[in-house]
Amino acid sequence: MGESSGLLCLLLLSACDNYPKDVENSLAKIHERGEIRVGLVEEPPWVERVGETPGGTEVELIKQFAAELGVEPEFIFLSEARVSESLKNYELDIAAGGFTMANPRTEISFTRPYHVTGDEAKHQHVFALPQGENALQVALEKFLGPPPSSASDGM
Amino acid sequence: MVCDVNISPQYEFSEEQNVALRKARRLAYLTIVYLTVQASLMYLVMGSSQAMKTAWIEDLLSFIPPACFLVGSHLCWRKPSRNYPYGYHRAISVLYLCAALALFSMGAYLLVDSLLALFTRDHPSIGMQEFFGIDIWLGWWMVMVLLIGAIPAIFLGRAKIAPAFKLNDKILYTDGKMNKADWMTAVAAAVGVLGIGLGWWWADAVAAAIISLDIINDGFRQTRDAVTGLLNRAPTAVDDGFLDLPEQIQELLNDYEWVAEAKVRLYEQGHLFFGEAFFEPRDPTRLDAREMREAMTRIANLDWRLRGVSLSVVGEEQREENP
Repeated sequence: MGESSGLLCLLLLSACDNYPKDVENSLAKIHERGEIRVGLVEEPPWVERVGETPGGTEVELIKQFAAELGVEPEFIFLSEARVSESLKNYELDIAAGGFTMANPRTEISFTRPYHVTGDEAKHQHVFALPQGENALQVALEKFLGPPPSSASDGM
Repeated sequence: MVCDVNISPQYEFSEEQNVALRKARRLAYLTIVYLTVQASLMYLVMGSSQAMKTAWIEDLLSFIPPACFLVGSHLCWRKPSRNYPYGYHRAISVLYLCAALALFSMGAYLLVDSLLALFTRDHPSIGMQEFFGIDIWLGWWMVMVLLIGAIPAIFLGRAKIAPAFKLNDKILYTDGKMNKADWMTAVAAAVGVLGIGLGWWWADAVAAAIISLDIINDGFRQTRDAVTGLLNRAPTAVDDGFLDLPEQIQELLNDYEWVAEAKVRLYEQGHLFFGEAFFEPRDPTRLDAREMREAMTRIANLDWRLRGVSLSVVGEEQREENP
């Protein structure tokens, strides 16, 4: 009986492992490619540009996320409109640029806030993703962790 | 001595019906409490899921039938007065239309919304969500809220059917159908969310579209019944289908030897049926008021809903005109 319940646990765990799935298989393609395509919009201190070298807190986070996935980040600087367009067409896997919950774009998906400096939407910082790529989104949000409670964290 | 001619007798429910009415009112209040809790929870886990947003808007529409029932069940017992000689029973018919329209709107909204989602190829994103220190995929929270939330609707909907028949209350019946629509859409939304987890972006839209057809069917039938009821169509049963009461009254009258021929028309006023029984006397010079009164009592005893049926004498003029 112990064995069978252990087996059930294993089954459930393995079921949860690739659930939820992506509609366009973004996460699987990242692993296949060995590379995560990152769109950047310059917005210090979150995303900085020194020559052609990207920097900033969000760039550092993405590098860590890529390392966790075991893939290389491939950065490209674009305008916000181009970032949005590319995400919509699944030509990018993730985008950073000091985006917040106040961002009005509906054609792309945003993570839950990973950094919060106040109660308003514009104080809640997020990354952008293609829509419907729930495996990728869950992987990134798990990496970023639950949103910190605003006031206590900020002060 | 002043004779008290009562042009609109006040009808009172029987004790059994009063028990059913109290139960129905409790159910309606329970429904409102349940919907308030459900709508608040739903709002918390809504995220960017269109299916959840739709389910939430439907929750708001679901407030309409129980509210209509409560307003109607109090309003219709106001005493008839000089200016409202028929009483307030028709308030039920008007509120029935409101409740039925809410049900129909819910189905139509769900269908349009899901077709639009399919057409624009919306890919719903559902991320992680932490509640009570548990950080899991928001889809699991959604499914939990939807399915747990659907359970009371199943019981509420079932419990309303028996009193609806006992009270001949079509609002209550519609409210029961609304509860059925509620739990069915909740199950469809849960299936849709699980489908999204499998990478099927179209899952919740397709599930919602299928369910919407059933709701539209119910909503359309109820709305048609409510509208035609206001046109004074012959009375129908709570669950559709014409009643044979006009024929029963005709038979009853035709059995009297002083009646040559009787024709009856009835219409609905809320819970009750009003109308006229026209008859042609065999001998217009011999009509006994006591016998006519007895016939009217027997008509009223045919069915508790028959409360405003009057007797009318016809035929004499036509006979005189004919050579």
